[in-house]
Amino acid sequence: MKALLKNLTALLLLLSLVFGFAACTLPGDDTESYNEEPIYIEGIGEIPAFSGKAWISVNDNKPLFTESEITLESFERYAPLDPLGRCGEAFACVGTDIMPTDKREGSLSSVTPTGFINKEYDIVDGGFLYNRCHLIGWQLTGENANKYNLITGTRFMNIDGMLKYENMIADYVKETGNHVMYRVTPIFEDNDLVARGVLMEMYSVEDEGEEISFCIFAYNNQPGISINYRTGESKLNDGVPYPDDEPVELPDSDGPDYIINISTKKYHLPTCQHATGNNAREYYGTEDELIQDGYEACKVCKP
Amino acid sequence: MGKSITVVICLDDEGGMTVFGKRQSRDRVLIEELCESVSAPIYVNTFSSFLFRDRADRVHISDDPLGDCPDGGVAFIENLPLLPHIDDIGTVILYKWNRLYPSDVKIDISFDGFRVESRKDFVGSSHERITKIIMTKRR
Repeated sequence: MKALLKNLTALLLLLSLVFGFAACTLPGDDTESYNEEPIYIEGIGEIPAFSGKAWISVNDNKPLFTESEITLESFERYAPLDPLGRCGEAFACVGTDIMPTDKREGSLSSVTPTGFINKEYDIVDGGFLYNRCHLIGWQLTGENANKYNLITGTRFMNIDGMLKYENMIADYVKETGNHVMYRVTPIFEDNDLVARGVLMEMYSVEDEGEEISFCIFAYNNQPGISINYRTGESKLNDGVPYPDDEPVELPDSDGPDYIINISTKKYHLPTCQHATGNNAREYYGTEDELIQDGYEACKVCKP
Repeated sequence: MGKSITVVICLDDEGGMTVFGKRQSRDRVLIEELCESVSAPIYVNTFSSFLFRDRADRVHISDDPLGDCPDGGVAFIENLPLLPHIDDIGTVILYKWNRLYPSDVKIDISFDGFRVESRKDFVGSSHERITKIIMTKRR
């Protein structure tokens, strides 16, 4: 046994020297127990409960892009916030023409995503449980402090779940000059303020998915920490789950304030005949915010 | 006395090689650097031959590149286990991406028993810093 331990220690030491990473406790150690409920995603079905692994493939690893969505023209689109202020899908065709060329500058602190009740833990790499987590990583489209692209994400999801795939896409696009369809959808349950995870779909266009074609669910969990997804509160995992009560109420509303088209960047009255189509989204907020985000009023309904 | 071959591999920061059967990354400069630094034919399987399509004169395509690689030869491996051939591996040329990528297949041998002979960094076509480490088996 001692010889085995000695060999293991030597192996870990060598790996840390060669790979530059320190021996550490791996997620999914048998000291952890996870007893959360499975997650359901429309169009995908049931996702198993978190078991310590940062991501799993879903839908037989096939992304859900339709033929009409796949394009060789780079773009990026972000869904408007919902009535609770939560992000929706972020969708891009990543090409070299929209990737950033400068170093990232500026802070994200001007944006506070829903449920961002941050707390420091000794067991979390970097200290804080939450990151302001880009849906579409900065290295792909250069979007930094964009409130439509930032959610409350655990350090574990951000680094172990999402960053690795973002790196893979970024380096593929840089190497080949090809395009990658990339869609990240945060999955919220009911009126939770913190997403249970993100659905990440990616597909390399020119080679028809030969090098990049994945459909991944990344868990918004942190080993050793219990998260109250309703509010964003957290605690060390003591085996006692947060009670599933005190649901966050939707704000009183008679419906959306406007209908926006995320493709044409026009905003419409909800009753406008042009407020339809695949790119139409409900918008809850003010006209000033829309104009600030680059939207223009529809010339027909004149909102 | 068995043969002694050189194995060339590319790994991420966690020792990852592939994910869902796909390579983690690739880099034209790395392939060029390798072709210029070894003189023997490079044994590859069909999966890896794609990377050498502009240097087809340098590769020998085989279904079993580790088994077929002759004594003193070079095999570039992306998606095959190395452990069954550990006794034949005399030298490892390791290219580190210095990046984190997703992986479900990681390298299956340790470098315990290998000595680092040289180490250098270079800039790739799509990677800011690739580290080349040459290791030989301790006798």
